[in-house]
Amino acid sequence: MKNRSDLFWKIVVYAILIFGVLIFIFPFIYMILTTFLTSAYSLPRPEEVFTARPNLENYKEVWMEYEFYRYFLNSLLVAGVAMVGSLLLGSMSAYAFARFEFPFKELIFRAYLFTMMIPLVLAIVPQFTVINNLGLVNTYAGLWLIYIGGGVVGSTFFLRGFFETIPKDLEESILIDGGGKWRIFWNIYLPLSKPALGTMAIFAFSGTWDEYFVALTIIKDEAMRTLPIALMMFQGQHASNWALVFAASLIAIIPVIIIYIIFQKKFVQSGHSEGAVKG
Amino acid sequence: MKTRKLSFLLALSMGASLVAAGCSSSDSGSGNDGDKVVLDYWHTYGEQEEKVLVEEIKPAFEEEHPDIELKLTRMPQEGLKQQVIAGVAGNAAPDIMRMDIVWVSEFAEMGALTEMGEMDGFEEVKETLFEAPMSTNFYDGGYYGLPLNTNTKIAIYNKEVLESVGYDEAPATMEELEDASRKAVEAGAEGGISIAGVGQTWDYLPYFWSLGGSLSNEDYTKFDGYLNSEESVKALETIVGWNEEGLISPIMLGGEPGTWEGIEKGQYMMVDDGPWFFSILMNEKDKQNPLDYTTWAPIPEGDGGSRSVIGGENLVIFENSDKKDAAWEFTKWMTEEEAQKIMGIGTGLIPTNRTAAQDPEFLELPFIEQYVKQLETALPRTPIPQWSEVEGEITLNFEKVLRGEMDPKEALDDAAAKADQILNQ
Repeated sequence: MKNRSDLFWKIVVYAILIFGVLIFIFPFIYMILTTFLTSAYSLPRPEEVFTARPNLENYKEVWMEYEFYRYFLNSLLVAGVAMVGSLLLGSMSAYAFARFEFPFKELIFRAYLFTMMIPLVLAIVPQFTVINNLGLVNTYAGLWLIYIGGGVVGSTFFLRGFFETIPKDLEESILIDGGGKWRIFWNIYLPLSKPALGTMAIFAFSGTWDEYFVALTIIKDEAMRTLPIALMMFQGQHASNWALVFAASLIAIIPVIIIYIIFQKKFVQSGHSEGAVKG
Repeated sequence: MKTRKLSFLLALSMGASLVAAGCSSSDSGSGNDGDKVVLDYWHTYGEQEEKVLVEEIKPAFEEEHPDIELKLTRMPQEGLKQQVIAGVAGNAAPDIMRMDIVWVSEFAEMGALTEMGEMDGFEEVKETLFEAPMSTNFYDGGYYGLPLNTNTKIAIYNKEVLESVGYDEAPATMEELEDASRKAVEAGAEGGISIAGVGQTWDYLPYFWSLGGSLSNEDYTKFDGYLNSEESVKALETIVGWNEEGLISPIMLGGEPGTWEGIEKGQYMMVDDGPWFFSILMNEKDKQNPLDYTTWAPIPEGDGGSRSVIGGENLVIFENSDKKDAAWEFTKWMTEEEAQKIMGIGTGLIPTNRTAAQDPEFLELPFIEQYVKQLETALPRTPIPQWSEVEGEITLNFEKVLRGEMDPKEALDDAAAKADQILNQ
């Protein structure tokens, strides 16, 4: 008797979940099907979309004729370096905030947080002026300075809390072996924070991968533009070919999906430090 | 072992970043090429148009001016205004830009643009250009740009639907348009008159003006008494009446189908649009030719005449450019007959140069004649620096009226008062 009702509820739950998945995935499938059409200046109707024959013509056109490969590589370089940079600097400063004592620590930390609350659009002119005075307009270095500078704040905030949950006692094993602060950071804190680092990596990557406004402001050369800018160029002043827009968008989200798959195992895990120290 | 792998990866990517940074900063030094003056030109041409610019305009200009080189940058529309503002504030704006006609006075007020009245040969150039597009460059006693191309919207009908309700020719008056729409909707069309939206004045001004409405006085200094005049209220009431009767297509308030689809499939009787409707759709493979399934004519006449809205782009020179002479050479050259003809014939963009607009080869484009005719009576949107703010107020109240949340008279009174307040700040 009990088994039966269990099964019944299981079916209900699964039915609801599958229904939910279908609803969420439907626009996405519609989008994929639209890319199989030849030209779609007005959004196509369902009967056109569902009779479309799968082909990769639009993808080929976007990739080769619109030189998407170039913007793709540009973006990969920009977002990759920005991700590594903000994670590395962020984790180091989070370590400092979590474990070191120094004057005005909390004040500095608050100042860090405060910069997160300024909307990007307001900051763009002063940021641009600074980058311009440094002579870094139209260089990726200028872009990285802004991206990493912005990313460090978020990852510091996030990782500080995580580092504080790691038992201090673990450090002693390193100290006994004669290691210093750097060893502790590198061999204890980083490996134990992989779940948090993985999560931050996803955020840091997709945040800069999608970023449009700052990139357009700093990068002046068409050949150095990043993917989101190239994507926007498909939006015409008076009309857009949605088949190409969607094909381009799909190409643009592939790396985000890959990064997500790589790091998602870490996404929900808690720390590795439970049970590391005997109570 | 694992940590070593991680540190290796980190080191590798840091190394890569340094190399890349080194490369990119050495690239950026390429400004001057020998003795040539390099002009930085931002534009927002579409794809077809950019092709003409790169393949025909650039070589022609550089051949005539061997000492000047054009550096063309196509900018995306999204967030463009902020881009220009950041450029101006950071002293990194281009030398020349092709910008929407409604932006010029706003940037002129900011002090970002060069006044052209003093430039060599300005008066002669001005004489060769159409007056209405030229007037969109005027701000505070001076001209801050030259009109590069102009456009307007005309009425485009689905031929079959129109004939099925007994009109062999496009409606000439607003009464006829109303009558034809009523019959078409009764016969099953999803919409008669397709006002494309309520988000910007560009969408509904042709109807508002043609029905007798007005925005401001002739000097653009006062909205009260004009935007809320008896005629304006009546015009808006007529549009509301159409909407309540179901004559206006669902697209106006965000419904489906879109205007191009609606007209192609005969779901809508009429839409209004610019020349790009034809030039884009004619270039589409696997689609019906729009010339086959449409009839087109100027906006039907109402109490205010046949009034469409002027759009287009102007060429401006930025104040902090250090190559103003070369920039002026290019600006002037772009408005001369030859360049205007190349652009007009190649893209269907309507020339602002009087002679080029009458060029037989240009007029051969089948749809162009009605647009040129419509331009004679079309009106510009109020050329004031505060326009985008004023437009926001008007548009908000228009939408409220059409959604039945506000009374026309009350809405226009309110918008006029707010517009005057913005103007007098």
